[in-house]
Amino acid sequence: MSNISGGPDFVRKLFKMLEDSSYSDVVSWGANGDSFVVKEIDAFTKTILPRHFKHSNFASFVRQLNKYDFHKIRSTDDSAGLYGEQAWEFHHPQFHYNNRDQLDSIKRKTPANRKPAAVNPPSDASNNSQLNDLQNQINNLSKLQSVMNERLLSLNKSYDAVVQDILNFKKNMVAQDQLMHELIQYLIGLEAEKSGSSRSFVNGNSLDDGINNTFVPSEQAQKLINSYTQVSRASIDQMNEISQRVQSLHNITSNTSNMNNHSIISSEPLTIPSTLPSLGSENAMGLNNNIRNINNSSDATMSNLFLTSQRSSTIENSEMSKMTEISQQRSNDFIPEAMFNNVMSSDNVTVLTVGHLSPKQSHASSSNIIPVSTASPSNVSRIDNTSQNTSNSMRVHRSTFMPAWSVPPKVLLVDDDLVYQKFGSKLLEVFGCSFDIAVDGIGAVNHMNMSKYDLVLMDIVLPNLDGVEATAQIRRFDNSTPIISMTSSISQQDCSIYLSNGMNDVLAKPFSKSMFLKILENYCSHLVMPNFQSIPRPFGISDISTPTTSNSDMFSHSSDTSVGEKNNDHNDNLVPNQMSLTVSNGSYSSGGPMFTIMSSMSSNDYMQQVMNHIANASSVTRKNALDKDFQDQRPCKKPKFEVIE
Amino acid sequence: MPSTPRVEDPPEVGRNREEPNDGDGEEGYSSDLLDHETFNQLLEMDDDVDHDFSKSIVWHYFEQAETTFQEMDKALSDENLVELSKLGHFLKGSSAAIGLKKVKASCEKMQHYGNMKDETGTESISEEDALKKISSLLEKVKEEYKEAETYLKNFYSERDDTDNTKNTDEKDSSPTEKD
Repeated sequence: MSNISGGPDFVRKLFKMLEDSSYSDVVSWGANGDSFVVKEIDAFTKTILPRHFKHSNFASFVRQLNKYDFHKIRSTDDSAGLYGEQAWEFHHPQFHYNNRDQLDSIKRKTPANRKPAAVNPPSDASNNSQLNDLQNQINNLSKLQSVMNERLLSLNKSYDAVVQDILNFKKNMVAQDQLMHELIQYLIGLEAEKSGSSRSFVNGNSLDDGINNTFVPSEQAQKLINSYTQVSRASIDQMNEISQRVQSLHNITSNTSNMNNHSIISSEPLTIPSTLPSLGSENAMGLNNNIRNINNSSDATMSNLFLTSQRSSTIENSEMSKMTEISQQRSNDFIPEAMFNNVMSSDNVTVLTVGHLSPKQSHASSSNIIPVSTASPSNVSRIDNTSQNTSNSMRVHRSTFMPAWSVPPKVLLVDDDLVYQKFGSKLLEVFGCSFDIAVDGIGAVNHMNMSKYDLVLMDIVLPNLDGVEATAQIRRFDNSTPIISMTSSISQQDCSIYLSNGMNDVLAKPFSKSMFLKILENYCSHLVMPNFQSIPRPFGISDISTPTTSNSDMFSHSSDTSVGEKNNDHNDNLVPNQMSLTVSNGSYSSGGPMFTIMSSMSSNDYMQQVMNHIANASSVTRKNALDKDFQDQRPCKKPKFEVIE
Repeated sequence: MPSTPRVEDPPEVGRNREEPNDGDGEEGYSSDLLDHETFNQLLEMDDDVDHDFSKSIVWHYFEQAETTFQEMDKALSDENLVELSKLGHFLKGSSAAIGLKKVKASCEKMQHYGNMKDETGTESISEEDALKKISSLLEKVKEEYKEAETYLKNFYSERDDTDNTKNTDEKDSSPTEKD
């Protein structure tokens, strides 16, 4: 009764319970001692189970029994009589009355044994349900698949549409480009035609009359040509000086002095024929008349200005008159009277251009003179072109290297330093940008919140919120706008801080104009008009960092009669440039025999140049020096060509 | 045939160009004070006939510098090294923009001292040391600034007096120091 050893807990408890004879009415060994019988299930559940098994659940007791491989013995008719209708009899082969030792061999059924028995029966049913599940899943998946397919198809369709759109867009762009190109070519052609018509005409005459048909022997021709180089060199010197002076004068003064030149020229016409070779005296007279006509009319239009023109120096005047003489001599040498109108027009242009070196008022003067010289239609447009060019050059002179923005970039300048605010503003203004200024980091962030910028120039040391932090804040909502750190602290460590905080580049303080421009160009390149870049440049220009000055440019317009000869006088740099101008006119013009002639003319001219070049080797060296000065003085030439184009 | 003599005519050009060398004596001195390259850049941005732009920048600089010196004085009496370093940095920037090399260099030193570093910004120094150095440095900067101010003011007043024809050459001509 006391200590039961061996066997699992449950079995020992069961055995102990059966030993208690006081339960015999409720539960007891079976008659044969190889089973036990629960006679009163109610009583057993309520009284005995709690006492021995700490629960009152008969079903759970039966489950335990099952686990230990007890089997319920079906109540046969006789046994039913033996223990009553309600009795449950359980049997285990090793569970015998008074045979405690065998209890050890009663084991919980091993899962391995049980599993097949336990799992197999439901497997059919669950298989079915699983099958259904899987079937459903497959159905779902295939549905999903079809949906995806549809979506994919629609995406494909829209992708195709987009590609189509892009292609169309591209086509349109190309068409637009083409149009722009044609337009520009047309314009250039137009200009070339005008200049070409006079130029080729004149050149043709000069070649025919001056070299082939006249009775001038070849040495004399050579001499003639040499004299040209000297003449034009002198002209350049004088123009150089004049332009310097003119530039330095106040607007009005220079304007009036320009007018004064006119009048002086007209007032001393008699000096001109005296310097002319005798063979051209009739021509000279005609020329003279022309000059007088034009000057008179310009005098009339400018009479009030003339009154105030006393300031202009006499040197200038005499220089101007010399110039006129020179060009007259030139034209007299080579050009028959019939061409004088053209020549005069170019002379007019010369004078105009001089005037145009000073801003604004000269514009008015040019428009005044245009109606005067309506002698031939090409003259008018020549002048018109030139005045356009020169007014452009004025504008460009102020805004030196301004890139050809299609849209002016909008820049946010962030600096607390007044000096840099002013300096930066000025640079931005010069480079044609619109801009706002913020004086601290918070202001910068606010500006960025409110509007869209193409570029941010950010000082680092700022009150309230420094540039790095401001950038970090901006980067939370704007990842694309380039932010340039503008600072004097540019150690590698500092720079890596800037870059790691979302800044794109560093502009070291104090910055120069060119550094500033470089940043602008780098980060706003998408705003530069593409057409202007794609248009082929005349080959000479790209070779020259600072091509002709406006003075020499002036010449290329002013005296078409002697493009070649003059080229020879410019230094070596200028020769290809001038050449390229001519050639470019030919190549731009979309047809017309005129331009073919022109190109061949220019090569003829070039031959002359080469000849003269040899003849004037010494003077060329001097020219080189002069022209260098020339270029130093005005390094802003290239953009002018860009604007004109 | 004609017009050979005219080639020899342009003496004006040469004369204009030589003018800049007149002030050579002072050039060495002023280039120590002023970085001409930077300053000329400012001048180049002026209109052809006046110096309104560069002058306004320089005058703004004067104003700003005066204010900054007052702030520096205050920060020094408060022994506020951080503020002194900041002010040094600030004035360094605008001085560099004008090209005032001496003032810029001194401001840079002040920036370092304020960070309790030596004048090159490498070795650490004590707070006491820093304050002492700054107080003598501040006097020096002020002198250098005065020098620069006088120089620039002279420059502009001479400019205003000069014949306008010289303006195209403003890049090269160096006004003389009249202090």
